[in-house]
Amino acid sequence: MEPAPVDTVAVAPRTRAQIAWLRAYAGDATAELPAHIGPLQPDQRPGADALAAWRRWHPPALDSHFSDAEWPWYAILERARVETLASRELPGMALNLADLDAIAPAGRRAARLHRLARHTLASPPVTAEGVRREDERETQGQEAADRQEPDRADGIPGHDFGRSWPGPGDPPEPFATDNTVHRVRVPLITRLLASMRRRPAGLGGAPGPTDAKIVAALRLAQLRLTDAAAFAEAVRPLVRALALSADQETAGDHPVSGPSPQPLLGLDAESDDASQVQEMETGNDPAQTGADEMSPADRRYPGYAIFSTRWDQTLAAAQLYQPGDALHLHDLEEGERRQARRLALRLQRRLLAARLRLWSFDQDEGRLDSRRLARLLTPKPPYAVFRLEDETPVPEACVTLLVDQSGSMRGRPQRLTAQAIDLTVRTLEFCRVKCEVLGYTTRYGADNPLVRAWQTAGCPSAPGRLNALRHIIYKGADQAWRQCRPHLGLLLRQDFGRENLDGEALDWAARRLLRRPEPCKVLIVLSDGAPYDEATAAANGRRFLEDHLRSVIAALEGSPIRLAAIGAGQTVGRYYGQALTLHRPEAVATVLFDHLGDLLTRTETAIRPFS
Amino acid sequence: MTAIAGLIRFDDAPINRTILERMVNLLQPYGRDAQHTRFEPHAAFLHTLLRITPEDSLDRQPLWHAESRTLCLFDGRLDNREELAQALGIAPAELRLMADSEVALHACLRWDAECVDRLLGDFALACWQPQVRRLWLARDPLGTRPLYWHRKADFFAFATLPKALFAIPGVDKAICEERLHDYLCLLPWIGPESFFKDIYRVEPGQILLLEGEGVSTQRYHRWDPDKELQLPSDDDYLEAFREQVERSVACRLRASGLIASHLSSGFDSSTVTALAARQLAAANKPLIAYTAVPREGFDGPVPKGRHGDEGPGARTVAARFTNIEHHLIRTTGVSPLDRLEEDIECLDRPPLNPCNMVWDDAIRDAAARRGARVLLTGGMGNMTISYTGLEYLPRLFGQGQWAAWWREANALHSGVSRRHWRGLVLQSVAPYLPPALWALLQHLRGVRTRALTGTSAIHPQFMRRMGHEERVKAAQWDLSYRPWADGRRMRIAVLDRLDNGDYQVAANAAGLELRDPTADRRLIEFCLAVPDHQYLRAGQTRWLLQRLMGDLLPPPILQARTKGYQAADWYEAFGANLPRLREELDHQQAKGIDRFLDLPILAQSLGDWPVSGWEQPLTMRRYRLKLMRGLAVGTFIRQVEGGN
Repeated sequence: MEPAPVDTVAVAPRTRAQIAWLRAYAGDATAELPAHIGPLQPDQRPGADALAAWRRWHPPALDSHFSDAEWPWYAILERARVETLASRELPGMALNLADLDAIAPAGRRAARLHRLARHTLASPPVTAEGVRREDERETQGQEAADRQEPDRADGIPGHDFGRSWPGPGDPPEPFATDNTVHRVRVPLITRLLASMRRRPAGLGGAPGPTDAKIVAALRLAQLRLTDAAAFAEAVRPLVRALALSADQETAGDHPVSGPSPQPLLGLDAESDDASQVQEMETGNDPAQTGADEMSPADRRYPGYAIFSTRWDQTLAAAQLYQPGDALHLHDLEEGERRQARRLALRLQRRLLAARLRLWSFDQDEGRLDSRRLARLLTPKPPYAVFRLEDETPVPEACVTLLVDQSGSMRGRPQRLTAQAIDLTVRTLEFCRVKCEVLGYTTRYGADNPLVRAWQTAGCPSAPGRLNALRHIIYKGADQAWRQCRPHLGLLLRQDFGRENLDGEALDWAARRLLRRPEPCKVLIVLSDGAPYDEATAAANGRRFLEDHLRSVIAALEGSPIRLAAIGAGQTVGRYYGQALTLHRPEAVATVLFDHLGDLLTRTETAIRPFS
Repeated sequence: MTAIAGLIRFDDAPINRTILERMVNLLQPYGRDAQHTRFEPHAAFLHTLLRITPEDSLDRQPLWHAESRTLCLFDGRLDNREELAQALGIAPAELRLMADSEVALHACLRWDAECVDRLLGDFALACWQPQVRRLWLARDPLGTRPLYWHRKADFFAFATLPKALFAIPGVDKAICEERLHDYLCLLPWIGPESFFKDIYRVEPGQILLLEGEGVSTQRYHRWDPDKELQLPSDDDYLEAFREQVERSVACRLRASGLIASHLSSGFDSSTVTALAARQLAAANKPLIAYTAVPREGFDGPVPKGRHGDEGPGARTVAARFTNIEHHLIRTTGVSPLDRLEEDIECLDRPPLNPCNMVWDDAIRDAAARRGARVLLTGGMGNMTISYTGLEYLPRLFGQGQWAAWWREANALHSGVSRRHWRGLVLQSVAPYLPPALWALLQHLRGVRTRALTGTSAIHPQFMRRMGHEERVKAAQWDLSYRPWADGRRMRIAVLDRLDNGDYQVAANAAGLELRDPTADRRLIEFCLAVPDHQYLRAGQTRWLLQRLMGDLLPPPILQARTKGYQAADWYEAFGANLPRLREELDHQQAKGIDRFLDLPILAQSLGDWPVSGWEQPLTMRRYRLKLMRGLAVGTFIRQVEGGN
């Protein structure tokens, strides 16, 4: 889950002074918190401080370490970290940030997690051994509690079971220095732990890690509070567990190992709504459908509309993967590793050759600089007539491969694409170029809830997109291919994909890529033709999706992203400025890698056929 | 050779450079050596160049003549450069430094649109005069180079292939049902429709004029069915013919790389190869000849009167010339399905004979790898140099020249070809029979199987929906293929029904230029004007060519009793892919292509896949024509309509 672009987040009006303060304190902010993850009242002083703390202490590059499903959970924990740091460093800010109600994220579960994390991270640190022992005690206590009748648990000393968790009505923690915070909070944590023993389920009784587990994990992460990367690593298992549990919670419409939509963080676990990540980004009311329900992408493309984002999905491939998918991978087996190595060497040579030469002049040793030889005729030193040649490192790059998984890609295009991806990712890994693999299709065929909703609404004209997105993350930029490659079998599954909404997928992939810290960003789309969704085309005309795709491409071609497209069997050149077509498997290596080399080594102006 | 395109806006909006960029990208494969654009305030033009001739290195298109404010885009090759230069007052030294496009520009400046009738060669041309907002487009009389256009309220666009036009937002990619119907019914390609809705072609021998926002067309060239050449003697005919053929070959040898030829065991390709080899030998240059043959050891059945392996015959031709480097091309295991999508993508249309595309692609690839820039063919030979002259019989019959008719018919019966009397009489009489009687005769002869649905995959409901009968009448085409009484009109009808420009451009994508000396305009006009008695004499068909090549071609070619059967082993690789074929048909069915094609019948053909009898006419028609062509058309529709 990536944060929504700045221009699309509903930012409440701020005072001029607040904006100036934010700018002065936070510097040139590179990342904005989405409204639903950020403070409830960003226009108030506590909310402004929370946002400022986020900008000051949160490195945006870490966002990409988490999948879209994981990121919101990580963001809440990260908010707790940066707010804790801010409270420690700036007493005045600590006072404002103590108002947890004002800065809580939207939704009860998110607010509870935020509150728990803030309390835990602000408490006195304990050693890892201490955490382990506490965890064991908690587990034993939990087992004991499980054996007891619920009312017997109330007898455990030191617990105020009357208010196990601070609720919305709790008074804010008083301002305190580090020490006072510790003094005040210790009993609270104890109370919390006790309440956790009484409540085996996770946040708000939802499935997933128990609250005690959450606290234990946060205690370990607390030891790395000032190191954002280490903190992110420390909370990763917890984040994953939270994301997974959220997914399981709403897996009702996919019985076995089918996709499980992400719940909206801001909603209660009891909600029967299968709200999706996209909704979370946009902050839409999931119950609302209609042309006015616009995603961030829509607002930038005025001709485009979405009837509802309620059923949209963004999932990790692992969530959709089935053991049977492994069989499909047999065609792409090990024989290609050697080829990948050969291609990697060739690509490496190209990358090396592309390095810009950097000369240091006036050196005492090195290569003779003929333009400075005249100095030798002067009576006084220095006679620094040498020059040294350095190699400017090639800018770090991140390549995103975005794959069309619609039904028309079945068969040969599918195999071509999988082969191309496998080779490309391996090669890029050899070259130490970051690479992300994403897929896209839609969720529904004939039985389409959006169409039903549209019909129920009286079939208003120009309803916009009438299918639900299914965006799939095969490999994050920082994940190793050896871990993710098995999921490529999903790409080869015969009955998986339905339609292709290229414009929105491209926009999604681009926004992910823009968050990456690497200066060179390459986005390669693998598709087999025009965007198409039968329901959308029938209601809006064939040109609706094509026009949107052209608009997205036009926007991207003006961005730092180097965009290219590969047509699997069919040319996509009428949409993309940089396009090539793969027709035969043997052409994958030669054609694709020549093009990839161009994209990674050429300057921006040189890529374009026209300057 | 170049691919060209242009976009002219009628309103004041500027040209979106991104669109031109896309168009260049799409046409770049056809002109890989250079790509250039020119932007005017409300118009833009592009060309992508494949350098074939030495003069192509001088090509600097789009050409702009500042004085007259004229822009010229020329895609093609001029075969009468010297003649044009003389008429235009261009000195030979100056001409040597001119690309063909520049000569064409001078012609445009001097004669305006009337210049096209003076240009000889394969070409498509665009000339833009911004001051008067006037554009004209033209193609050569045979349509060897294609040109398509699209017009909307606010712009006009043209391009060598439709794919470039689809890069323009607002130009939708959809099937033209009328053209699809005519194509499936093998009706002549008349009228401006292309395979795509709202995309039109400039017809061969036509000028399209855009003045302001109005579009008009006019035909600048028609083949003359009444012109007859009268020369004093047979030898004079032969000499004139020799001159024409030699010249048409010579002007197609201008290239900056190796010359290759497609050499089958037929008359036309053998003649072209032999004459080209002789001319190249005089310049101490080689000729690379390619012959497609079946897989090693193939001994499958072939239709009566055909031979499956053209290798031996071709070898005898190659053996006569020391400068011929002869290669046999085998496409063992390659199914017509393997490159079908790629071919369709490259052609922007369904290929007429997917079987032939297999070896055709293989020859092109081999020639390109060998470094050839030109591939000579003899595709139009049947209508020109190797015309049989058999229509001479009905003509004599119709004119009441009984004695002459008897003499020729008897000679045909007793001569080398050993034709049956029944066939000779039917050929002579049939053109004069009332259509109903002819239909009855056909019925009695048991040729009902030649009904359209026996050879075409077209869905009967689609035929009805399109008003099949009316369209056939409007095309003035006889689907019963009744013999013609006039050989000249028959050949003109065939010439007029063809438009093979897309195939020529597709060869450019392989880095080659296809050149057909038998499709030379002057040669065609000559051959049409030659009296029939020069083609059929004393029972000898192709008498003129026989005399011309008598000393040059070996007896296996000159006296061949059978014709080559191309891709004789086609069904082996095709049959090995039955699951893929079924998958493709299922896919087409799921996409609703059965509204055009009778897909259940095609699927049934797969179920009835024969294990033998591939030489039987019924089997050939059912599988090689109906199924293969149907699959190609279905795949094309699937590509165009998109969807999942």
